[in-house]
Amino acid sequence: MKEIKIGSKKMRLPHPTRVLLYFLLIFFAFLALLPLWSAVMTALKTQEALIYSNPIQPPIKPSLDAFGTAFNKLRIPILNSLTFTIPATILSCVLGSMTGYALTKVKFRGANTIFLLVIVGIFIPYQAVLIPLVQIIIELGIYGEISALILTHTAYGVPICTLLFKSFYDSIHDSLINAAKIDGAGIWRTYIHVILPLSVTPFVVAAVFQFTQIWNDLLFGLVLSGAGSNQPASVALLNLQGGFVTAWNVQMAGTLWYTIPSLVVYLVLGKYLVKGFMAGAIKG
Amino acid sequence: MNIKKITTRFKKKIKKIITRDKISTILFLIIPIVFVIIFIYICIIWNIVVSLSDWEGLRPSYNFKDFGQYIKLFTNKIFLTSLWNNIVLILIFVPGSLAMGLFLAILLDQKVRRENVFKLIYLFPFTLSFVVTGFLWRWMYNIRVGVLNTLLESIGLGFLSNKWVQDVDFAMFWVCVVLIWQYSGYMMLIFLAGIRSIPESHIMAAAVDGASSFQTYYRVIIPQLKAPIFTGFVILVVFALKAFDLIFILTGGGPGYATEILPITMYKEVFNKKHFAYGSAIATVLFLLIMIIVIPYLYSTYGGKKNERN
Amino acid sequence: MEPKKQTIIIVLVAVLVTAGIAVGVTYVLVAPPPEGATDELEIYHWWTSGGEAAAVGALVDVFKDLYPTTIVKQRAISGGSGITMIPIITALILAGEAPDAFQMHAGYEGIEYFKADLLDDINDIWTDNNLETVIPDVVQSMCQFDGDYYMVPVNIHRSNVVWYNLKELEALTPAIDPKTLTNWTAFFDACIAFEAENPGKDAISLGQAWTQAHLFEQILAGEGIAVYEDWINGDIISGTDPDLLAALTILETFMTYTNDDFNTITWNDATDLLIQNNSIFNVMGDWANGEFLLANSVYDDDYGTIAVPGTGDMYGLVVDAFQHPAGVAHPKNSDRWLEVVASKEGQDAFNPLKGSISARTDSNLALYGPYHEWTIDDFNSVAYMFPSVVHGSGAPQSFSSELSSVINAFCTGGATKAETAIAIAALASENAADFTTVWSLD
Repeated sequence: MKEIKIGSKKMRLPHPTRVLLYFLLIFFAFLALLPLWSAVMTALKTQEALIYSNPIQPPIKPSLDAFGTAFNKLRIPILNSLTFTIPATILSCVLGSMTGYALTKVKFRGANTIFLLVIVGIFIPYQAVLIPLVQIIIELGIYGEISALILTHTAYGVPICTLLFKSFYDSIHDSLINAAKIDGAGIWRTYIHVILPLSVTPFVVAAVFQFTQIWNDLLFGLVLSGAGSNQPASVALLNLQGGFVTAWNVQMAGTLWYTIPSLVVYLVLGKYLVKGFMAGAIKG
Repeated sequence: MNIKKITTRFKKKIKKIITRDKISTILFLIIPIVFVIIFIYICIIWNIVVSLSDWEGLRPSYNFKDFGQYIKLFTNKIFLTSLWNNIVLILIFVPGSLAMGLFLAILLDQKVRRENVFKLIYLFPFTLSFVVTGFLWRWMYNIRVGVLNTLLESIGLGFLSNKWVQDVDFAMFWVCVVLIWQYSGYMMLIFLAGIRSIPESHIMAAAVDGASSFQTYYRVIIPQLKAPIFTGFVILVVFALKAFDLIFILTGGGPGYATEILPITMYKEVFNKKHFAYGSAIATVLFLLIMIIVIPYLYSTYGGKKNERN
Repeated sequence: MEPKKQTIIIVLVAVLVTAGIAVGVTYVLVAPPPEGATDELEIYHWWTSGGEAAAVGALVDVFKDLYPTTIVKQRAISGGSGITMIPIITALILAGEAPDAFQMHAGYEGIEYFKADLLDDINDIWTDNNLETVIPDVVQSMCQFDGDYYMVPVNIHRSNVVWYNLKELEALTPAIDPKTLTNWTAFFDACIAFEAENPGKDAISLGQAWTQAHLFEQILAGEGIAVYEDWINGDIISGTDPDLLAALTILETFMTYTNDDFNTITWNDATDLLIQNNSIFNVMGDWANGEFLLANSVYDDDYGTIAVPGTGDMYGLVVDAFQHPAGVAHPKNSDRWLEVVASKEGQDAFNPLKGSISARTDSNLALYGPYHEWTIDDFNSVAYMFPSVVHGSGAPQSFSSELSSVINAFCTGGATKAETAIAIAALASENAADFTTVWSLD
């Protein structure tokens, strides 16, 4: 996209349209960030400061009290969340990669049908499997355990990871595979020596996506953890309220603590997510 | 002659590899396929079985009863309200997000400086948990001390302050605003990718014909965005039908039944009232609604002869 | 690598992986749960607000004094009237992972667990501790299913209480004596007088969700004990029932004097509004007394109480109880907890802080404050007692949990009076099969 570009004219002075454009862009950026900004401001205030200032003003005397209170209550649940989110992310990515490869690059009849049947799983509402899922977890004897959440999130992560990897693997030229075949490599070797080295991008995309999805889940946490010692941070956040008056600063502080891990992941690896969505979108 | 020998040997080798490969393929696929079969297909069927059974209360019971739960559903005012709310949600949220996403994509297509920064900012709400979004917007929408009302008052627009999600008539609308806020960035990415994949030749042709930018967008680009619009539509509908977490935190389904949607009704029926068969019937209806939209989409995008490998 | 070797390696890996999975699964299934060995007591409740948390803390302290080696784990799930906790307990019980004891309202709230054989009867605890001699009859019957005891009451709360701000009432010209407000006309006149002299303030503070249904059931009781009895027996099934409509009309008028943001504040926020002199009336059960205590308000000086107009000769019962779920991890501690809860020391530690009166008739009255004097007097002299619907006792869950949403719709303007009456009646007729108890209140 060089010379002929819609909307811009070859002028030196900022065109009024450009000004409007940037104004709009910044305005929407402001809208996107306003709730977060307000949460940070609120979390830094003490109870009295809350009453006397408006929600988007910075505090006169910032206080980390709310963060401290919230952290004490959320410390263990956040640890719990990390304990199941990381393994489930890794497992579902690995499984997704293997499945995506097997269904894309290995030509066998019915591969596409199986693929379709797998990705239907992306779209099911979890309510439609909730009661049986609870029964399964109970029968396995792991109700209320971290392993229940690892198992659940891995299983329900397989479809989307498969889709993400398949989209990527489709763009790998078959000639690479054939070359490996001619060298006598079977499926396994081809996977390890040819596919995996190329899979760094989709792994990152899938991992970021899965981490975010699993970290953010509430429903499974509510229903499978019993709000006990293994509860995820999302359930604990729900419980943070309840006390004398609704302590908005503590509530917001808790919300921020909960967001920080996924925020960090997003800031560090976000552009991969962006790339991944755009790649997947073109395919779609 | 030589070529024939080479190709025959080549074919024999391929045959050998294929047999070995069969085992490998199965090994590759076994765990994920087993997961999918159990946690998705068996669970869905199991759920339907529950909806047809006589399971009431906390003792699981699977004796086949009848379709009575479904008949109860469609004569129950609460269910019908809930279903209607779900539909309203879709009707506001989906077009709203698509429009917003398209608008942002067009803005970003204008060779903007720091385009990536804007992209990251707009996509940011998508990465938030619904729990977080729920609490953030509860604070935004709070009538007495919330962000929106106090902001409006401080800039002199106090007359615009209102009850937001506590207003029985517009609660669902304001819930949709939150959802649009959360998903526009994602839609924007999809559309931007779509716009950028349109061959430059089309755009140049339009410029040569003297089209203004508006006309170029309207007549050349947008019509070619059918695929992303379709993808976006399906994804958004699925999220709309799943929006349990957000509504649970933001309004709990209230005020009254104004924002109660099917997943919430199901949750209440099963976990509050212990009506397992009835609750699973609600879940089945929800599932069927989604499948009506998703299956044609999947088939047209991924199925059919054009994707079949031989 | 030779094809044969490769196949062998693949098979080997597959066998190892499968073996690994098999071992893992077996371990998970077979390994003994670690808690059985430790001396713990895990209890769930929803007492998270200031006064309530202090009260349950005092009760736990009594337990810890008796059994210092036991680790007590409290799981406090916020959400008044158990709206968040009950679904979680449902899942836990379904999973066979019930906690050692959990807060429950005596009456209908436990019936599903009983029907599924998920509660152990505790007749022995009742006999060993002579509870039948100290617990009032009506409460005894609320703790039974089919003639056996399944729970111990921890308190008796009163639901039909109007809290008033005495200083504000006395400041009006002419001053209003709250004891004269025995009917709705006088009550609403007082509201009008307050709002006239205090523009910008609303006479009544109200909270969100279930608090509105709580209010409604008091109003309905005020229409007559026979009306309330019909209602909780599931006999009011017509949407044009005159008593229903009359109660809704009163509620309608009531709402015109309430704070605008009622639907966003919790029950204790609403009571706090009254304590801060922003309103004069608040209808809430007497667990609200804890808020007044915390704010160092003085009874008959800063604040006071009357019965909800029309219910002067009634006592609305809200009874919290604990039970012994079947197959718990620490059955001995569960029994010990129940005994502490039912004991004089336990009740006298808990109730003064909680705002309720002891479920035992032998409580040490010196420990209770002036509010309790008033209510204990009434408890011993009222003509009628009625079990609360909103607080899980009087009607099945399928009725009471939906009632909150129906009334909420009415109060927020989402449904008309006629629609609401029809909805309430429909709840009774649609769930007729669940009304298994026949109450006889007079």
